[in-house]
Amino acid sequence: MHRHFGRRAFLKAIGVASAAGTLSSCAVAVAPTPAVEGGPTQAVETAAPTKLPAQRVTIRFSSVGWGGWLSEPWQAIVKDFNESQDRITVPEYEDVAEGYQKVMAAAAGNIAADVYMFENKYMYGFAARGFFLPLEEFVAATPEIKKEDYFENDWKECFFRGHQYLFPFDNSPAMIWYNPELFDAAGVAYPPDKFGGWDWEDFLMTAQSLTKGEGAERVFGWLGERGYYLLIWIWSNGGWFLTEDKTRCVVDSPEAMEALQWAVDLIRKYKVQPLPEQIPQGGTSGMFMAKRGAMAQRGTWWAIDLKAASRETGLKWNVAPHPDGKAGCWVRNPNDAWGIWIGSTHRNEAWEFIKFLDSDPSLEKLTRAGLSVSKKRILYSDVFLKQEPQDVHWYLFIDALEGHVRRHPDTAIFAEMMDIFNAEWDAIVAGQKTVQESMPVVAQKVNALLDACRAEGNCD
Amino acid sequence: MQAPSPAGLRSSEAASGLPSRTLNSGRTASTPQRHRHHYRGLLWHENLDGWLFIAPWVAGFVIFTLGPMLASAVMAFMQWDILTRPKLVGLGNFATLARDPLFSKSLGNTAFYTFIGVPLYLVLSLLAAVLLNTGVRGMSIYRTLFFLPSLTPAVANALLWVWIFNPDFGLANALLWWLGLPPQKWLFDVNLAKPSFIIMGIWHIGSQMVIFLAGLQGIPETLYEAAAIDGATAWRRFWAITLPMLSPTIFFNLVIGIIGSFQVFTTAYIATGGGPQNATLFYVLYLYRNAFDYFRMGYASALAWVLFAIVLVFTLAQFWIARTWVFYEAELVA
Repeated sequence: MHRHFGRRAFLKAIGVASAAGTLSSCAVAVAPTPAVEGGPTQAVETAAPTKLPAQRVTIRFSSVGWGGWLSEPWQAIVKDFNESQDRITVPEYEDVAEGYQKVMAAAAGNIAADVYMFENKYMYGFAARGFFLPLEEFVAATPEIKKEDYFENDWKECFFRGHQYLFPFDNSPAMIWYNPELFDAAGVAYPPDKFGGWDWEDFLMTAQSLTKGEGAERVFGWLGERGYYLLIWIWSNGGWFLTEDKTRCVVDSPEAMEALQWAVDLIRKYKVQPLPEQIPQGGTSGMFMAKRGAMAQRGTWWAIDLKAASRETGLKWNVAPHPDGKAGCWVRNPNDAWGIWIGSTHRNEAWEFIKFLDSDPSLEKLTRAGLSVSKKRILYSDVFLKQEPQDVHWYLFIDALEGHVRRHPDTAIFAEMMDIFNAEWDAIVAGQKTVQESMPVVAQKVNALLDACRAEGNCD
Repeated sequence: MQAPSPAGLRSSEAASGLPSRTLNSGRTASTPQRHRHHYRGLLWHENLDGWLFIAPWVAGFVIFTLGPMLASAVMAFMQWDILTRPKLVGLGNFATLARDPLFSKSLGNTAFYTFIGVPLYLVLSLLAAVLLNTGVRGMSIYRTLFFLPSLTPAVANALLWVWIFNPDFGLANALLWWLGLPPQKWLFDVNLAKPSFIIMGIWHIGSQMVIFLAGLQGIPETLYEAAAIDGATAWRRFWAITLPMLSPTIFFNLVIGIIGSFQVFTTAYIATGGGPQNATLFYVLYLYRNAFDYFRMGYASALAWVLFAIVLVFTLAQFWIARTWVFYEAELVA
């Protein structure tokens, strides 16, 4: 007997389909660590390496946040790995680029890559939520890996709550990059070629001598940045953004506020640094390459862009250390590192791939591309120190790593923390608030965030 | 809606004891029951065909829209960071929302953009449509030119306007200089950033203009002729004929405009990132940050449903008010 498939029957079918869709979309691929509710304060699942099984496996590798201009060396390394053995295949290099949101979605969908290259500042938020597989047992079972072979700051940045969630890959100590041609045109002596060679007053005089012109033709002596780049002034003046144990925000200390006042004076009082509205779409990077700025601050990675600019336009550049403040010279050193997704079903193979990434030939490829890696012997070698242009003071990056870098104030709440700080900083630079008015507000809000983060178990 | 069953027509026949009839096909409908089954079978097949045709859309709607909507409705009562198991917090997210200064800030920014931008876009798009409806030569070219900006991708659009609003060499300040006015900081000025976004939105009036143009072309010419004969001026004809006859179209554009404006995101994400000083931190941008930067998908879901409720209330209010000013031709004729 035929039944009439009418509206009611169809609506019932839709209801069933909706329920099924809802249930499936509610299903969360939970990281299999037991500490998922309160962060890894409880026992964290670790995995000691075991003997590799016989059959061929495929693992996925992704570089998150950046990598577009390094796709060539990455692809070459992946190819070399595949050719060096016949058990593990890495199909292709995936560049998710600016895609931490995609990583989160991939993890929720249980399709994250096996191996990731991560910026360390994101590690805390992901590690606190059980995204990474702790690596200490893998490291312990690999006798050729010795932590003394790596820069101490880089190694420490891979740890969170006593567990090593990442393996160090590269670093990027902040330097002053300057254009010697603009110095020659202004008749100003170049910055010193060693740490401790100048102080803030020397720096200001230099920047003032280099600043000239008006409007769109103005050349600035200093192309400073906001956000984390201001840490350099704070630290060098004896202040801190977060305490060294990252439990409290102390940006309202007298030393920190004095440093921030100095930084805003460079913009508003001395006018050696551009206002935000004076920075064109290419940013300060574009301004430096267009010779509209004599000095800029960046990490080692900027060498890649400047080498390309040199080939295209003949741009000249070199590096110098930051000037000494009352507490010396302390610079930021953002790192990148490799990690294994805890949901990976091929953890041993993923570790084998990381070991290959950490091998000298692989790191030399990446160093030739323009990075400074965490493994000391590569950075001490001619591959880094004698790279082109040879007149650049490449040794200063090593000097920075060995005595002038501080750990970033990265926590699980770093994104929100910087949004709070940057909103207040914008008001200070616009002249609508003072440092003394804003920093206590920042400290109060960030400390409230840290308290909430601790209550959730994601911060110390 | 079920088709009237022929069985209903036949039952009286059967009850009356009248003999059965021979169908045109030559088959004998020996009982009313067989007719009923045959007719229901046809209806079933016709219905099935219709449902099958729309099934792909319905499946997509259920999987990609309705399902996630229902999931987010559940997530609004959870604390969830995407990476770990959700934790039920009841109304906690909504309580947090009530105390969150950035919630009210972002809502205020969005309301400013909506309630100033939407009427402005309506007026400008109607004006453009009226001008294009005058039958000028090359009207189709002008119509295309007005509509083309609506087709530009949002990201390209945002980058273009960042360049236009550049304080040093942007076209906006070049125009001000030509007019003898002082240059402005535009997107870098707390007071001008939102108006700059409203100006950016004018770029997209083409889509509303096209809808108005279609509405204008549907107004009978006889009405204008009759009014002209009676001595009505152009303005009087516009006010007394064009606007009332166009009121359903205006209403449609108003509703769609408000719904769309409340969801402004891409331009703010690309052009200003919410700055300066959160002056362009629009609601959906704040929602996005909570979901993907701050690991607060549960709170973001609560924000999403609050936005839904606000937009729903506004839309219902507009429908209610529309009874006083929207005139449908069918109602007039009736």
